[in-house]
Amino acid sequence: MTSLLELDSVKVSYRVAGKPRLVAVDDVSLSLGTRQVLGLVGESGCGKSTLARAICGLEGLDSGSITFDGTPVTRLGMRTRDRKLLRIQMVFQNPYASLNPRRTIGKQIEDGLKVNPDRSAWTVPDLLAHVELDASARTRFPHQFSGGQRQRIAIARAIASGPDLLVGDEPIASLDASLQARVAGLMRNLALETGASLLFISHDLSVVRVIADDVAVMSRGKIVERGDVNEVWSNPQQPYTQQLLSAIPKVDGLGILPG
Amino acid sequence: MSVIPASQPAASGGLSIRDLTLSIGRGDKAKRILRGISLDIPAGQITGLAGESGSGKTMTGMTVLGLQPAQATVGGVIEFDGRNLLELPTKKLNTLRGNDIAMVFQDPTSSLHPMLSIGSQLTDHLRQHTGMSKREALERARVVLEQVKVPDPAGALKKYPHQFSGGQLQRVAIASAIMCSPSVLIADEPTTALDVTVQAGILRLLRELCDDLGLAILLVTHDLGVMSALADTIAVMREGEIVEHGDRFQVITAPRDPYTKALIDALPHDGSAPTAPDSTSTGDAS
Amino acid sequence: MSQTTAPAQPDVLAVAARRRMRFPVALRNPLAITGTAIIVIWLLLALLAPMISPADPLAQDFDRLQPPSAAHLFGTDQLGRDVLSRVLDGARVSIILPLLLVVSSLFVGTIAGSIAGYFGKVADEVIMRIADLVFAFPTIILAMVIAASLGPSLTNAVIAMLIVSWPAYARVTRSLVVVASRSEYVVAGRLLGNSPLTSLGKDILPNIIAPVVVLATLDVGTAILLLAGLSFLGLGAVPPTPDWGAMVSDGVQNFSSWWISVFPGLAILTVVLAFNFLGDALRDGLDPRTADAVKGRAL
Repeated sequence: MTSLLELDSVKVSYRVAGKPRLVAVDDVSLSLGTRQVLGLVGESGCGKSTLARAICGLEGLDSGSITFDGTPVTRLGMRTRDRKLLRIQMVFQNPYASLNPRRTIGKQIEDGLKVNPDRSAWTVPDLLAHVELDASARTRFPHQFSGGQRQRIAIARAIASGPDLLVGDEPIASLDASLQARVAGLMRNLALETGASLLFISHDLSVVRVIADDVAVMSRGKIVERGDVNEVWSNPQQPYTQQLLSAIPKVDGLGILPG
Repeated sequence: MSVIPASQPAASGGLSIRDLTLSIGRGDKAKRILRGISLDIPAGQITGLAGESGSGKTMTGMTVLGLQPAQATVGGVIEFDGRNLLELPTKKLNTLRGNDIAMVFQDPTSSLHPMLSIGSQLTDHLRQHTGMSKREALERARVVLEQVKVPDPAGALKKYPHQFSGGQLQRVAIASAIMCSPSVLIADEPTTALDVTVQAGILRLLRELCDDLGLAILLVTHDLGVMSALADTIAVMREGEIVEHGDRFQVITAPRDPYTKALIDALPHDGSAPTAPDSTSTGDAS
Repeated sequence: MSQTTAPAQPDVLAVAARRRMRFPVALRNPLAITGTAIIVIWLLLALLAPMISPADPLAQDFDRLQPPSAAHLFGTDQLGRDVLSRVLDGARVSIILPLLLVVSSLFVGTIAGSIAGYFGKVADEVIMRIADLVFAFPTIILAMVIAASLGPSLTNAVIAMLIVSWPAYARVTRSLVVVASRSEYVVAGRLLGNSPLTSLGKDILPNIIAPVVVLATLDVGTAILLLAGLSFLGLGAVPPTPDWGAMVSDGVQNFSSWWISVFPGLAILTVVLAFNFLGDALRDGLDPRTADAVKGRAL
């Protein structure tokens, strides 16, 4: 399998006032193939969001390298993003912050279409239909939509650009609980349908279980285990993974409290 | 509105919902959100209310608290302590809410004031309602924080919400809910925003509070795993109606309603719980 | 799937719909209507002054210091000029110049603040330290010093006012830009290939400009007062140009003839109040947090 994304010993740290530098991502090596859905799970503060931002060029690396389809990922500073790197797109956690409040939904999705190498791949109504929204949405503004609908719009915008890699940074964490799985499923389906890979970052193991092919478990800045999602679930190798999985309550009707 | 007398009075301290209806709008355009809910929430038990987005489960919890939208038309009876909450004047309901009926939500940050210390947030309401001295109230707060297992309770009183992790903050929110010794606790998706290992701790805590304090807990969640671990009885809602209500084991292992069966059949077979998967989102049982 | 460009029609409609939604809401407030009406009337008077003035504002007469009468509704000043004509003609200098001044300091300040806030580092340091320097002096005194050193003329007064007034806009714009540029929608835009400048123009400025414009509206009153003050001190309009501030100053020298200063004073008062009304209403109407309260419905 040719790898689409290659992380080699990536280290990212932050300056914290009055304390030693906080190492958020510590020596992470990871590869992701084409048309693959990788779930990255871990508890809050484990560095998974920092890793996602680094992959999109939003964080500088202390050391190591990230290569996307042969192109090194550089930090997005005060320059326009490298055209090749436009093939990595991100869906953010907070759907209330990720859409420009003063532009119509249609215009924002068109921003995505403009950078799609295949100009005829999508139309706005097409995309809206694919994220289960009414075509009339295009002339409306973000504040007229619910959180779940906004996240669908953000997904449509990312997909519009025809990415090869879609990164979801806790894209369902801010959504109404019972919508989470549906939106996650939508991301998987759209990514695969357009031939993209999906890196899905979440603290919700149950959702990752359902939508991912592979899973990587992250703890304290390191990836502790990676493998086929069903294998990891049925036979976790690392103590941390075992502990994490055993904390998920089972649907057996026995009233056994986990952990 | 016709008042339907409760056929059996609610157990002491518990809450009884009879034929609760709620609609928004009037006439033909009225949207019927709740279509006649009847549910007992007895003391010392955790009553689970499951269902997908839009089934009306959250609205049921909000209506019990008197927090339904202002333009909603409500019918039926919510009986608590011999009174129908739906007929209480707002002022009395306000006193009741927080004192006798408390709530815990999905996001603890939204229910705590970011600029006030935990100590003053926990004691304000209590002092207002009981006239307790500041010192007594702080002592009570310390005891309650200890009860919900916040580490270093005395120190925690002086801290602010941003100094706690999500799980600790949910414990603080629970402490705030039980400060006035309520008899009913409405918990709406109390662990959904938390990491699984932290969730396990909160589930344990809710069970202990129910057993030790004899609380009547209404647990609203879409997560059947949480339901199976924590609820004593489970009611399943769909489109504003309760389609099934029964003992936890029975509902999970031998569901009577086709919709419940579809929900459970959609789970992976080793018993771990995905959240309301796509395949059942249309809700049609085969 | 052949058509990628959308018909422009619906978007135009939506933008129009949004405008319809926002501005009338802000202006539905009685104070805002009063303010707008007063401003419109004064602007019309300023434009039509040469046609409707009963006399030549510069023409001197022997009827010096005449109290208001049928011949001179507002009386005459110490040189026998018709005060009503001078108030009408003075509106051109006293309203339109401050208005132009506010627009230009809004322009300069917004650009400087955006550069400082968005590009940061050296640009930020340089621009904000200059702004601090200006802030370190009391506005009116600094304006006086600059105007005095440039020599008394209207142009120099306006330059002096521009120098003292742009930093306020720069500072507000800078802080708004710093916050907005971290928004996820700005980052999302950058990930879709927006250049920093496109991002500033498309995503950042449209979302922060409303409070800056409101600030400017409230500032028009201050600018009118500042120009009147400079003219009062002899640093603005050079006689015989009619200017409300200079007219008030004339009145002070002829204390017993109250009409010389009261009428231009009232003119200043009404215009300043009108702009403040409008500014307050815009502030409430454009702020999403108060807009719902303005509309009278809490959602």
